[in-house]
Amino acid sequence: MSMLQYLKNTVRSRSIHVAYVNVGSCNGCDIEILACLSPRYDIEQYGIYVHNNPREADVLLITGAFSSQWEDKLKPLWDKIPHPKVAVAIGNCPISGCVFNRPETLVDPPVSKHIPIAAEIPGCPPRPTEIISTILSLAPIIFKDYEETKK
Amino acid sequence: MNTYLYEKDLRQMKLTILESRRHDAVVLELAATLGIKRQQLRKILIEHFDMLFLENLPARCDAARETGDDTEKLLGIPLLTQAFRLLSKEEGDQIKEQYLERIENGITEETARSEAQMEILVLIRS
Amino acid sequence: MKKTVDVSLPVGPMHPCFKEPCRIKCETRGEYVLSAEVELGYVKKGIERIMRGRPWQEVMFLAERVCGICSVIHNFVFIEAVENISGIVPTERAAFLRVIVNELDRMQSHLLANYSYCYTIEHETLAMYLLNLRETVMDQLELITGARVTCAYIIPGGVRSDLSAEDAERLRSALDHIDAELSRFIRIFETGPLIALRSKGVGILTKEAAIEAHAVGPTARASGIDNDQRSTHPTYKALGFSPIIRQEADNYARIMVRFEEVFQSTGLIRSALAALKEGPIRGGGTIKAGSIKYRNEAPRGELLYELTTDDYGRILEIAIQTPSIPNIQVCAHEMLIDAQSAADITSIFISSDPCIACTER
Repeated sequence: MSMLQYLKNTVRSRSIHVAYVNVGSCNGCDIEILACLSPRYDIEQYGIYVHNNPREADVLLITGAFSSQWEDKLKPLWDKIPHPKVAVAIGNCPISGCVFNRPETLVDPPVSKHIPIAAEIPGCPPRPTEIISTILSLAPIIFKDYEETKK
Repeated sequence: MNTYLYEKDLRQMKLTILESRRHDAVVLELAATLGIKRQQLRKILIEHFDMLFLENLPARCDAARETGDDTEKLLGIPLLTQAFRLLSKEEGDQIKEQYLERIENGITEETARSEAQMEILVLIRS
Repeated sequence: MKKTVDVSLPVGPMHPCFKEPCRIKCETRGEYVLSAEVELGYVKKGIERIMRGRPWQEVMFLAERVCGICSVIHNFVFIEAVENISGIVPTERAAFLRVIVNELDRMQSHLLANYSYCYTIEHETLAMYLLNLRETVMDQLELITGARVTCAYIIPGGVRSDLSAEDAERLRSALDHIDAELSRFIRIFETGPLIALRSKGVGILTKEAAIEAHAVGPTARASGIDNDQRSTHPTYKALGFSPIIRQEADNYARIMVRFEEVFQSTGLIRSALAALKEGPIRGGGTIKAGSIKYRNEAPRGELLYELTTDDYGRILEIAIQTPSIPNIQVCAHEMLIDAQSAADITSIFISSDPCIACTER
């Protein structure tokens, strides 16, 4: 491992920037992400920052069962995120559509049709602790030695 | 070539909003008072308003139904001026005055009403 | 919509201040806002279309998922509407337990709304205090119902689980903690000079405009409109409920109404706990055919369910009018007009407690 890679690994392990995007959820998962910010769970002690700005994000949290307005918007949003990047589906909706995937519905799950999803957290909604532990266990797998393994 | 970011045709989504049950009821009600088809009124609404306003139409109509006298209610003036905002307050008053004038001049209520409907439609479409 | 100028300033659909996606297109002269237009459709799921023709057991869970923040009230109103059609009366203990859970839900929703506002005006310290206090409320909700969000606690004829004396004691001590902490936070909010600069006199909503747009909930009550559906609900009447009304009609008043309502909710829960008698928590009954318009007060305002059932317990027709619809509409088309700077756009918008998931369903 080169010195540069070592430095990048060290920095990246304590600095994970998160953006979340709601593509048609009921809000339940969104407020559980917000609850992660609270001093009770204190997401920032692990070096995770929620900016909600795709251009400086490393992790994109996706909630919701993909409504039609996002069809031409989610892919550009995903492209704007700089490498290395990872998308996490939160809740049942992005995975299967949950209760909304019925006849007559307007949503079009799963989200993995549109962008690559690295991890899925089932639950309606999942607990804040599950969200934090997923990000923490996923980040080293994706970000460690990113430049060297890419070659 | 520059393309507009996130500018999308909203007509289909606006129509989805108007198809919902309570919206359909108010659209039918107003279409009956104006004497036009539901589809024509929907077209006018979709052209004039943004999505949020369309969502709020039933609630606005509930609020507007509590105002206005009998003549105004017959012509649908409270709905048009207050709830739908297709006419201004002055235009609404003017149409009501003209309607009452015509009835005083001996024109039957039905003809006076259809003439008022025509005037309203001209004002809306202008 | 007709445009007066060619330049429009878009806010959203992804914005650091918004919990949910929506797009405000403001026509501005410099930073002065001339008019605003909102583009929705980002979370349109068509819940009413899915609900049609399904048995109430399924619709109950779908109704909860109209909005994740105020899920209890959607459950509450749907079940009470079905009960009213079928002539089922909840047991006395269950009626009070419903009020306790509903008020806890209202508290967490109001705290979240005020957190969002403080976060938007960049008072992050107070925002985090409020978010932490919300976790205390969420704990109580979990203690009683077994889930943090979408708990499906209310069922026809009663509630799902009982509250033990031990848990009631824990709830009481949590309420004392919330009261003590919250009065401190309100003092911070009231006396902060910068908060006052960003809040007082910003985003005025006149009473006439509020009535015209059928504004409801804290947004309307901050403009001096006496409109609270809880004052007609039998259980709330028994607890001696009276709405909180303020006259200032600006951002500050809307936030303060929510703060005061949290205090009111703790008071209501205490009196409900005192009135709680031993007894069964579940009654029985069958769902009959009929149709009804049923209203009750959600955290954001009046929630209306209009539904038709048949003899097999299926929902034939349903229409939901959520409080966010008129509130956001009046916010975008009345409050945002004449905003003096682009920074006020987000703070005014958040002060009306927008819930896009409710608005679009």
